[in-house]
Amino acid sequence: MTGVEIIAAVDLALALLGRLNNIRTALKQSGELTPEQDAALDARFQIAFGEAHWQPSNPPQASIVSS
Amino acid sequence: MKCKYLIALLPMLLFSSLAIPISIGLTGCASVEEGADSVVVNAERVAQASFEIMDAFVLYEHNNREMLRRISPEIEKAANSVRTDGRKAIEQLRSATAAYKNNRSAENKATVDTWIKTVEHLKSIALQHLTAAQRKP
Repeated sequence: MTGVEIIAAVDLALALLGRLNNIRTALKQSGELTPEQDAALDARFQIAFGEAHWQPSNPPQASIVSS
Repeated sequence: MKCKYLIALLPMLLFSSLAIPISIGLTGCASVEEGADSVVVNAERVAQASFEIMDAFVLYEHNNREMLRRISPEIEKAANSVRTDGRKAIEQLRSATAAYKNNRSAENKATVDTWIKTVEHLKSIALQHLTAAQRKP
């Protein structure tokens, strides 16, 4: 493994670890959300969707100029 | 040397602990308390859990884009699909759930079910590419 790959593996581990509690809580939900919880959830989604990692990237395009 | 293997294994272990409850839990088999509407509870569960997976995937792709481009350009394409279609599907599912809460008609239930399927499909894409990414390093 290169240094970059080690950092990526640690980054992925942290990303997954940070989600476990939220997912467990969501899956354990047995009642309907209250209006306050509904509003908080929608607000959380909208904040996340505005963050940099939710903006589409510009993938490198294949060159149309033949060499 | 051993440390490198442990670091490589760590995301795989975490991924397994994440993927198993999600694959079981989002099928709607978890319990619903008395008086609660299973359509609403399931829709809210799917929206929250799928968002977590999609958010983890697009964040990981964003933070490691250059390395992942070398592994497969498909990962970036999938992430962009989640960013546009996944976002839209979650927003539509939330709107459909709110509409169903206001009017629990068969038509509104059908709309919720449609968006649940779309969100779950996009969540699967995110999970699939997280798997691909965590196997490569």
